[in-house]
Amino acid sequence: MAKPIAVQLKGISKFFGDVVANKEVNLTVYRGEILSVLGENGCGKTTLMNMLAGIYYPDAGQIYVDGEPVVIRSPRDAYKHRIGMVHQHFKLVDVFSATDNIILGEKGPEYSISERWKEYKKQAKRPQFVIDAEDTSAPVKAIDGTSTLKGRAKLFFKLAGVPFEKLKIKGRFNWLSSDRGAGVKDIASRYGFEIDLNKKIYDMSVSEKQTVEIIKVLYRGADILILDEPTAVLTPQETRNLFKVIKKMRADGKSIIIITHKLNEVMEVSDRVAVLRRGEHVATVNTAETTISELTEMMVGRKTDLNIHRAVPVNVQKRLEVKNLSLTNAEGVNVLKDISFEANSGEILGIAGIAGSGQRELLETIAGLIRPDTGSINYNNPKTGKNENLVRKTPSQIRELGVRLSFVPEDRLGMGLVGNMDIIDNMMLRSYKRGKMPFLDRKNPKKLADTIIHDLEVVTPSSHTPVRRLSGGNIQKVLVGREIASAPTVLMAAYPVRGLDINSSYTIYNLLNNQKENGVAVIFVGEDLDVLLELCDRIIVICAGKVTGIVDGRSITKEEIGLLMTDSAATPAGKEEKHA
Amino acid sequence: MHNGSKQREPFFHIAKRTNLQPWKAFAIRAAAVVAALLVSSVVSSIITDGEGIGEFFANLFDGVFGTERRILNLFQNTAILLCLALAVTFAFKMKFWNIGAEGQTLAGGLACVACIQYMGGKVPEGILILIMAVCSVAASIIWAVIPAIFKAKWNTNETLFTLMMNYIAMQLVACCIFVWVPSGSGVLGVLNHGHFPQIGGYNYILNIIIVALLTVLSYIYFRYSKHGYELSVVGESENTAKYIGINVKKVIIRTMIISGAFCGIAGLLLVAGTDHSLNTNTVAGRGFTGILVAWLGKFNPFFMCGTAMLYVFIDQGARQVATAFGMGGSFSSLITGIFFFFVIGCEFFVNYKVKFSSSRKFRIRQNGTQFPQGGVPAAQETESAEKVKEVNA
Repeated sequence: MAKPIAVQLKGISKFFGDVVANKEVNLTVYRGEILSVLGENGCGKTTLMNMLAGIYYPDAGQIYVDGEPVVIRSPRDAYKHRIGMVHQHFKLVDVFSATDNIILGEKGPEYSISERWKEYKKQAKRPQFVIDAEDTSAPVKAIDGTSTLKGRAKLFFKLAGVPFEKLKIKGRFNWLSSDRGAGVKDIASRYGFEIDLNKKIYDMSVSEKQTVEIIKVLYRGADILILDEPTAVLTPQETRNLFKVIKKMRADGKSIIIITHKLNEVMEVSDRVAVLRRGEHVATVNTAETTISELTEMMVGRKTDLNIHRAVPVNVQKRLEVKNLSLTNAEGVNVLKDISFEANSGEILGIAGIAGSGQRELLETIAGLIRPDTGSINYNNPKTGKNENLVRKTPSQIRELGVRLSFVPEDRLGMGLVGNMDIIDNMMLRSYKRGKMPFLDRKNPKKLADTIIHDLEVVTPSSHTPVRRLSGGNIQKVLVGREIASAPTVLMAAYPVRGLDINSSYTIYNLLNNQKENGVAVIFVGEDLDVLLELCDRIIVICAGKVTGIVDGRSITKEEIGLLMTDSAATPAGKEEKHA
Repeated sequence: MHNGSKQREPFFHIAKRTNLQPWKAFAIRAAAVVAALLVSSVVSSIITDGEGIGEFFANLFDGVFGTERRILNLFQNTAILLCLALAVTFAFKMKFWNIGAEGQTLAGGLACVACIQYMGGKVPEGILILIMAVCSVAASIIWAVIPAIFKAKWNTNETLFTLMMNYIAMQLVACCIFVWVPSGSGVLGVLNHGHFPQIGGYNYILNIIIVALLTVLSYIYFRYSKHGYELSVVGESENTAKYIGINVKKVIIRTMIISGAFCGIAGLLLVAGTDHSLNTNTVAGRGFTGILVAWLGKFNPFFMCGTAMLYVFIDQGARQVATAFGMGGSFSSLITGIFFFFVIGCEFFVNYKVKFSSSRKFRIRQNGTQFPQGGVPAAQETESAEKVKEVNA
């Protein structure tokens, strides 16, 4: 390639204790190209890029910028070498406007007395309107502000005060010129960002916040942009806009590094792909010369079947009926608005929506962790045939009713499991209350732990290892395993594959499918639309706490769901159609 | 733009340790104790103008093991401290930051003294002690459970609340002593009733037996009971507790009742077993020291025996050294301060390791092939080579 080299990493290694995050990685980035860094979760993509951005310091190896060896010890150093990174979790001040966030930390221009004078003079010259009662033909007259004695005196005092004002500002350090941020506007218009720069961050959607972060990095003069999983929080439409902007930046000679594990995006946007596996650099290939299956093989290390087997639902019965559920949270925000749906046995019901649209609250309400304002949740007990209302019951009351409801929460270590306890004690969470003795029974949980470790191939030194020491995939296997072990009739799973590598993800999909075939009503909250479309029989789309559509997973397209997710296609007629 | 010679790599960096073998962690802690003693001895020899280091150690051990009475004191003080450490462990395992063990114990002690004041001599001694025990435990439970109820119901900050309750207890004690001592001296003399019986001709033995029993009981409670399991789940993550249907409020209140009961027993031991009197400083900060002991003992009742005894050993020994060298009371605080500095500081080395510029060594061992295009100025290379020599030496 004839393009000049922008950044070169040579022999970069990073260790966290005994864990090898990166091992002798060599990577080259050219000017004016989009490079994807691809790899499974935990393979060291983000660590590698953090070393480039100055968050971490490499244990070994050398970074070259423009052919010169450099030492990057802090993000400030990184900016000095024109490297900027947009992190997965945005770092913005909520109460500031976009402009202020972008120029934050920048040294403002000197307070100039002569310029201030000029400005005041201009202000004073502005025409003023006076009412002249004597002149009946034109009672309102425009006059120059300095034409009257009063106006001139006012101006004189204002001008005389300026030097004192400067002293005051020097003492206070907080003077902001009113026309700040001109450079920000330039950048926004040059790359075609559609954003209102005066909007406050707390009013912004996730994609707008991301835009602010990107402009911030560009404003600081970065030529090499690192984007960490930029599309994880975006709808398909927003993703497309982002890619458009990225391509414009490439045309401008910038180098863009995108960290991702989504293969189709890699194919769509990047020029070259660098694949990492277990901290090591496998290969860098030109996107045009490779295929998705080849990339997967490089990522995983062996051939994998990426098809999810979706059986036709059999013996469908109404299991859970949610009616008109509304919920106001502690901050007084309506997180759920009049939600109604049914979950059937032998079926996987997907819930799609932008992160934070109320998915978590919905599941927690069903599980009895939150009390809704209004609405009902009816459970159809398959054994007794009785109808139980679950609203306003605690999780233990729900269990006492004989409702076998399992819940795999989004926050695995914060809610589903206790990180500092070993696998056996975590198994006990569901079963410790059994029996009348005041003492614990650790024998049965131990058996269960061993079974799960064996059946789900959990990689762990022993069943006595604290759960937090396991990798993300193994933690999830422990959690899902425990929830399935109680033989549920309803299984709710929130983002069960978030942060998991491909193999673990497919293990989880298979487990969910098995449950479905066993007649369990599965509710699956997902973020990857491709997976939702492949796995689910029906999909509910929610947007800002409202159901915008309940659609058939076999016939809908990704774009249609994307539109429903932002509620831009939710015309009543369209909804009716999709109901059928 | 990039001036290579100006940029220097950090001299060392800190990395987290994982899977440190238990014996190594123990060795680090033991080394810290030894180092603390050595530094204390040197410091004491400096500030006393040349008392020997040997003197220091002789007095230190003499202060603890010198006489039968001193040995008994060691165990008795350990017992009280351990009892309070156990009390706070219940709360701390639940992440309820109870720093009010001091006040809870005082409340219990006050209840004991009140019993003696109004019933002493009127009922048989055995029954009096039983009544004292019940009242003491009840008073401490009240003192402990008030912040717990507020925390459970309105999520108030338990740290401030329990701390403030300490001062209320102190004022209450001062007030009661004022009422009970007609002379106005404000000092309650030794009370004649409600003494623990001597066992085998020694005082304090009953104290030690009671605390030993409590230690075993609390270990069983934490390790094997359902309640203990619930309280550690609540402590680790309240969300998890709610998710599996534990009534968090109930657990908080129940656990604080137990914590308060332990403080009540400590109050009883102080009044009936050792002091036979009461003043605002009866607990002598052990409600706070107990927190340290519990934390250093990793909230394991048996480890806590060791840390409590170590603390009492240093404290008691340092007092003897201070007396022997003719130093004031703050001398012993100085020694315990040095001791804690090392013992707590060594936890850093248990959790982290410090790496001295390993990247330089690595790169130079790669004999320069890492630097193509002659990118690194010669000056920097020699400089790093020197650094490596220093580190290796």
